[in-house]
Amino acid sequence: VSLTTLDGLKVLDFGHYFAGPYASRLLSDLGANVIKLEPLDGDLLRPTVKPFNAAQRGKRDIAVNLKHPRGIEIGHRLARWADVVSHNMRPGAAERLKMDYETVRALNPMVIYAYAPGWGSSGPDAALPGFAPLFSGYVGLHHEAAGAGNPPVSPVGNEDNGNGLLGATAILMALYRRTQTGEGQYLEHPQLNATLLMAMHLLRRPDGSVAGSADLDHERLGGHPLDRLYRTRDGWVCISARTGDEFARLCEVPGFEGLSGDPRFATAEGRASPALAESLAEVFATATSAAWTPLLDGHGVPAEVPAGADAPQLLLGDPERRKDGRVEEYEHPRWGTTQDVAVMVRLSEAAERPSRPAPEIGQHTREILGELGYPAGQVEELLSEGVVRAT
Amino acid sequence: VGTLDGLTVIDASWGRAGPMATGLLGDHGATVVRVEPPGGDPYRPFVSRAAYDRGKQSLVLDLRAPDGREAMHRLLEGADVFVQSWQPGVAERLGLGYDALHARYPRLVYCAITGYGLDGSLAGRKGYESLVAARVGTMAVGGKDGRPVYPGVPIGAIGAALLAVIGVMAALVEREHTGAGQRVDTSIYDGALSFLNMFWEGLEHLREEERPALSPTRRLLVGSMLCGDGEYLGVHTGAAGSYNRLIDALGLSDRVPPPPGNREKTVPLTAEEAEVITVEVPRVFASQPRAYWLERLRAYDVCAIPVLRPGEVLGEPQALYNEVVVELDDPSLGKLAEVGVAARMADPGAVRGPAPVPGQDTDAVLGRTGYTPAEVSGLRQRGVVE
Repeated sequence: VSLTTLDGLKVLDFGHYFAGPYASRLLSDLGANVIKLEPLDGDLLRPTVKPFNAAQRGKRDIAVNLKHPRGIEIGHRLARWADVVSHNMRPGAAERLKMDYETVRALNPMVIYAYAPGWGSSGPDAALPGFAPLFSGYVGLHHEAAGAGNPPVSPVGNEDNGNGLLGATAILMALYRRTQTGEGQYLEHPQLNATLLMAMHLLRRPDGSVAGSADLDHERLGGHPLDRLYRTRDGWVCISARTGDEFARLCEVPGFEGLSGDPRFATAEGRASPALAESLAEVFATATSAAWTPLLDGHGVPAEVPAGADAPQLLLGDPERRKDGRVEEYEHPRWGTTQDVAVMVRLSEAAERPSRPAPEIGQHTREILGELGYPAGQVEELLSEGVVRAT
Repeated sequence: VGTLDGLTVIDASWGRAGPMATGLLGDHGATVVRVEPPGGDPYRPFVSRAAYDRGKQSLVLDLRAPDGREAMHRLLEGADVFVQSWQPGVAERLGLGYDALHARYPRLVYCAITGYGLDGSLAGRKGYESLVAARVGTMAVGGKDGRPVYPGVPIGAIGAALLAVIGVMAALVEREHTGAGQRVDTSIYDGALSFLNMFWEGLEHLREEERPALSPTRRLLVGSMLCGDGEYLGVHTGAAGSYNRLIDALGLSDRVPPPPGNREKTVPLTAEEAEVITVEVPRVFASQPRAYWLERLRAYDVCAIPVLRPGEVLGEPQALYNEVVVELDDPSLGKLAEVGVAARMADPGAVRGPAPVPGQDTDAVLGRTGYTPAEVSGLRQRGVVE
């Protein structure tokens, strides 16, 4: 399901890959009418089917050669139609296509034009390429996630998604502003900035040292003794019991009673010491994960047994999650009935509407050209001349 | 001047996601009042508060006391947005549930950030970052020998914060049409999925140990290379023709000749070439310091970005050019450089100051809502405010 809160909001996205398109996909989730304008030979992410689907769900698709004079005319008609125009091409590319902000604003003075460059539209590094997940490494997350003394790793959590999320917030802020002032605007959400936002917990002191880092240990089992993984007799358990209350409840669990009177762990500082992790590790190792689960749950200690890498399939196939509305189903032209993650932010007054998978290349070319006022004869001409493509 | 000038946000959340969400609204001009419990956030000292709560006002209020709840209602009277992150049911017990507040303040946008959402079969479980990660499987991708790892990036909270802002802004836009506020419901679980849905066909694809930077079969390099000075350089040859240019830059094109055209990724390496790639490429990178390779690869138009230590990026030229770095004098941590306003809007917004000391604005904020100084000191004597 998607929601109808942004019903009537018209978005034209001529971006590609993931980060830019994910912003307009998130708007589509809330009911926006999003058109993906795609080159005739297709978005380069298309062969990577699942990420492509995640970035393009719910949109309609028109395939146009914008380098053709009659193609750019279609692009400009769509730019006039849209409330929001967005893309993430390399700096200069939109100018060469005549789809840049100045051109679009001349056609559509109220437009909100959102641009997601890699580094920035201008500046010392603007011309450089930038692929995910390299920006995560640049902002320090690969070293932070590696654990003490390990080579850098690329952690789960891709900056492409982060930038799509940031872009959707920025577009909606601009839209809100337009309701107040009647004015559109140009806005930018560079991938560099979005990745920095994902690392905003890292604070640098004047001497170059950093506060706020997760400080994961060499084994990458966690940082704080009360928020980490512990080995059980047959597997693992993760606890997250950092408040005084939660620690007190842990101390009531059979096996952990000895901790409550231990003066070393009476203060928050004491509970941060490795000595506590050693004590907890000894106790957790004495029983199986299945034995610990009801004991920890029963005493209200926040804990989970970590799922395996098949967690997505299990979650998508879980009837409970369907019933909760967190998983949904749609018909995909090639995959058939498909389970997917449902809308991730729920608004109480929004009506639901059926959701759609990502479109095929040019799936809605005829329909959209019709809406733009092209007579059927002209549409066929554009198709046969290779200005547009339809599936 | 900020995009959201004139909006008021009352933030009774804690932890990472809620404060990050309201912090973003504050960056863009909203006035954000943090309402904190006596004794403060149970996670204090939480150093990243310096980032998430910068520019906010802070009021310490005991919501368990009737006087405290009355003061909360006075704050909500003039507010546009209310954000909380209690376990489902807690707000209702405090008389601060959606139905009660919507009836009293019909224009208020009400945002709840929970572990798993306000309803559903997981609503009763604690949804802290690491516990959600355990459930959605991110702990299972990265460890060697089948061991789990604690996730390095709090994507649940980051995603939840951004989804909350998306929901709140959509509700504020909708309010312009309907005159009414509504409830926004998102969670750490939703936040994690907002990142994982990219690879939702199976997290196996993310398993780090199965993801060497150099492919032994495909003409592709994605990852970090160790350079001669012990520093790492991130390299990505996803762009057309890029792999051929990299091999040229490394001086190996006589041994791994480029296939014609720019579709080299579709031409597999021969066994002999694979041998050269897996042995020689790391050796060549290790022969020179990172700065050398950075300059050389960029001259060959290959995507290369240094793998920096935490904090280092805050001095890098494009970050400074983008004005996304701020310097603040934090009351508990002292002088800090941190990430500033990320989205670049026509009205740029600004970080208005460091994070507040809990309760520092209690008198001023209550005074604005009509409390006299004598009433405030009465509340203070009864321990309702700090």
